[in-house]
Amino acid sequence: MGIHCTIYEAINVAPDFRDSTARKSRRPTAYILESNNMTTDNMKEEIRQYILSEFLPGEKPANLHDDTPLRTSGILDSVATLRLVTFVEERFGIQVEAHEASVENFDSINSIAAFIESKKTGAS
Amino acid sequence: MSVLHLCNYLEASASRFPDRQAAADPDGTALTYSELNDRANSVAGFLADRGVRPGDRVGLVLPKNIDALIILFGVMKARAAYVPVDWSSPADRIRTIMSDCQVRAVFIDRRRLDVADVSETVILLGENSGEGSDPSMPRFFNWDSVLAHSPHMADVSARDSDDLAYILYTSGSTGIPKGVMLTHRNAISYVDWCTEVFTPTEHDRFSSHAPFHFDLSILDIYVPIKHGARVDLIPDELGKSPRELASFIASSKITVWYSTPAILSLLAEFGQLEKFDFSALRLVLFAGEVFPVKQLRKIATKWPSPSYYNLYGPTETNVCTYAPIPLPVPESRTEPYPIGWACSHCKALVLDPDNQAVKAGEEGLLYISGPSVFSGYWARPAETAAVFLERDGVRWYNTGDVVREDPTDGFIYVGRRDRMVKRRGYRIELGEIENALYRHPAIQEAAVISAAHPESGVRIICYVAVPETSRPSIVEMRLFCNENLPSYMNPDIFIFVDSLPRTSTNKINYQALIQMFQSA
Repeated sequence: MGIHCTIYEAINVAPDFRDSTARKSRRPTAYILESNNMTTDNMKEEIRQYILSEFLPGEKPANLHDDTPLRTSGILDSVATLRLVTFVEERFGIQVEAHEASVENFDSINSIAAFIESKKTGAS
Repeated sequence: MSVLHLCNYLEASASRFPDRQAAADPDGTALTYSELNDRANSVAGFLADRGVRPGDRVGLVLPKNIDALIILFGVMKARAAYVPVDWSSPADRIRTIMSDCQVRAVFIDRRRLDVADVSETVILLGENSGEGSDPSMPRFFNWDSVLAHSPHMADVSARDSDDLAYILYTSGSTGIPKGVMLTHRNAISYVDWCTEVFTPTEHDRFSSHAPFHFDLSILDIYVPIKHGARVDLIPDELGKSPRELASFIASSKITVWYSTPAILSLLAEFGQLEKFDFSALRLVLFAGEVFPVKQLRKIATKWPSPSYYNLYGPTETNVCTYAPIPLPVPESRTEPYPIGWACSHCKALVLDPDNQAVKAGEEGLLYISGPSVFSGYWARPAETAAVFLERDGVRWYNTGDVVREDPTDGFIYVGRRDRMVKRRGYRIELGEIENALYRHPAIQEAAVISAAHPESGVRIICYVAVPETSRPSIVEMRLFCNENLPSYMNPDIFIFVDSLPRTSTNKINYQALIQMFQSA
């Protein structure tokens, strides 16, 4: 997990992404540091790798574009989306409300990355 | 049998418990027994006025909610049969089903006006359904006017338990849906068995997770109504959101949960169950597919107190065998649990290919007889005859499932001889997926197999023969399948090969493919 683990260790909190109370109290400091260290391209790459390994075994990475429709194309069904949401929450340290796990936010790598960014800057 | 008609359950409970809540929507809207009964009577009166006669069929293209529940009873009070469909199905499929059984009336959500041409009497529900009927569409009625209609039940004394109660459509092997005709007797004999085994009372709270077009809904609806209990309706979206669903089950103090194993796996994995209080839950029932033991162990660890039952039975018989699951699930167990013993209202036989009973413990096809066995497929006498066997004056239904009998555990499910699998509770014909793949211009040969997976239950794998230079990407294959198949049939894995292995008679060698996949 690289630098992100280091950040959490430094502020001495065990990362329990399922505990919403702890998340809320930790949010400001940790995430400001985090967003300076990860570029959007890195984020998209990690999302792409996750989708390829979990849901498109055997596919060449170049075939999964940033704008390939994921939900509306049937590449991700509702169960796959739940797994992806859990991955995104744990990997990028955000909390996704049930209504936010929508086709709108999760239909492409682009939209997922944009959604994560907006959560981290507190825009939504 | 306790009653002649499913409506008798509602009427009896309305008489005993008029003010108890019969059903609730997740937004808190609830109906008492007398309200549910009265409104159903209005629906019956309206339908009779529109020429719906005993024996007619009435379609529903609606999301699951209290209005849909009122309609089920209203249709049956008119002595007609209800025909529910997945309201998000493609228009073609809905039209095919409604015209196959020639519905006399149909209740449609306004968002599906695209299928309003299926019947001469159309009742619209949903947003703006209080508006007056559009004079340019004289055969359209709005729901409010139906509810305001004077109540009238078709001749109660003419009720016969062999009247058709509902028709549930499943996918046929050629992709054309088949209508499973189920009578009041079929449903009531099953509901009475549920009373015997699960001992419901008016204090129970049943969940209704399954859609009304799945036969799990028969237990969900009619068992609580029979006993004066409450049924909490879970609409589709809530049913697919594990965290919200977990919260709902806890806050509604659900006492009886019934669903496919898939949704229990999702709850265990994503529901954050440790956050909620499930002390009211006393029964966890599952049916529809094999429950991978790893996943059953997970949910049983999170919910250790209820009694668990594995229920087995195709739509044609509803539940016909059952197995209590003793907890805890041993750490070492990998073998799926048995489907258990025949229910008290059913008889079971295991036959070899010559229709002779197998020796004890040997594999054979499971046949079921009894009052819960369906009467036949709508307008398909040949297909109906093909699944029944007459033996000593008794009609036995061939489930198509291969089992063997264990003296301690009852029937163990072995597999099928045909190419049908269950995934997430849906019947999927592997041949239908192959047919769709062949429509792709680049694909020369396709073979679809299934493989058990410890977490997802069943995975569907497509082996596709395409020369290396013209291979589509896997993403393209997924897009293609999404456009050519219903979403519940989407394959999990695509593997490109130069050619498919063949047997000595030049047929596709499915066994070789299965071995190739398992050793990869």
